[in-house]
Amino acid sequence: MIRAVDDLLWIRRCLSGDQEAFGVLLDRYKNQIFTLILRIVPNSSDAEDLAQDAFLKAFRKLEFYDPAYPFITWLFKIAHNTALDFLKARSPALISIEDDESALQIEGAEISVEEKIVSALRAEQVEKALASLPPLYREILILRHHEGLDYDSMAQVLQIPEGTVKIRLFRARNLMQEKLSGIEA
Amino acid sequence: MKCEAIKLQGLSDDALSLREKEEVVAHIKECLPCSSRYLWLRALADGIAALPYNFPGPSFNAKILSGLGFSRAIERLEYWRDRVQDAFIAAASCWAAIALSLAAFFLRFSDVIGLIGRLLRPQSIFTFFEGQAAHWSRASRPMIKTLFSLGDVSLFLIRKSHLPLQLTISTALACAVILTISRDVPGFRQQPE
Repeated sequence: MIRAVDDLLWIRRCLSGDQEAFGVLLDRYKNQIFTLILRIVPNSSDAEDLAQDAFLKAFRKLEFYDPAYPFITWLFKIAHNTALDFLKARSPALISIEDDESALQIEGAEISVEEKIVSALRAEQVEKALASLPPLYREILILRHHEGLDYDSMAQVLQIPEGTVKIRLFRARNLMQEKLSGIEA
Repeated sequence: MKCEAIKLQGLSDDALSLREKEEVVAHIKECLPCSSRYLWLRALADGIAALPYNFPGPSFNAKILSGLGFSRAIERLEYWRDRVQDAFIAAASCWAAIALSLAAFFLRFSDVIGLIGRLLRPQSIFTFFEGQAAHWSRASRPMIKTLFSLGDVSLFLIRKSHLPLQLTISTALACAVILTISRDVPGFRQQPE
């Protein structure tokens, strides 16, 4: 809450053309935005260019920011769109995943196999498994677990219904489990 | 309640109503596959949350600010600051080279005049400095004393008066000093990123 109010003050200063305010907001959020984009576009140089594009778009359209939502959610949304446009132009196949409910009977989804009890996952295992997922699955897992966004915020960032967020997250986790069991084996 | 993976996901994401939560928790206590799945979901959440952030390069902010139109003022300022610094370095280098060259010759003769009291036959072009040396030595003895010491070193290094050699050494020394200062003093010259 304090962060949101503070963001709003800096945003107002940005709108009045204060260069220092832009610097403050950049320093505050650049690592989060860069990390998210790097998970979608796993090339550091491209990710940095795209993160810069995302911030430029955000700052140029700052007057359209709705203070009812957290500033970081708005930034994530712009970063998501920027990264996806880049992927679409480069390789559309990378962002074609199935989010339709018919493909997954979500209400009836049951646990068919006994899960292996895992108390902790090693960072390198997680990193490796995450890197092998399609970009959109990587992104949603990062938004949920790294950034701690709830379903509603993720729906805003990804511009998809909340039900689709649940399905995508479910699929991403299942895929992650497959990859992790492959790595462990 | 039957096993429902999606409800476990909801529990893991803290997205269930209180009633649903109670149902799922009660079910987990009795169902080994569900409790294993739930533990796995928690482990995955912790594993991803523990991943470190990545950091963009050092010029990240500058490029954005430049793209926002703050660049012109910054570029103008940097241009003139560089020009002033370059001019200062050039002027300081020239001055130091001349000063060191003159000091080297001056010390040689003043050293002889002031301390040894012996007359060397100075080369005609340096006669002027002899008179000046006596005057300067009265006016600023401490400084001259230090310079005499430097003159001893100079004499030690250069046994015979050799103008081209002295000029070369002095100039090289002055340039080295100026370049070292300009490189090492923080903020003297901004290093490119």
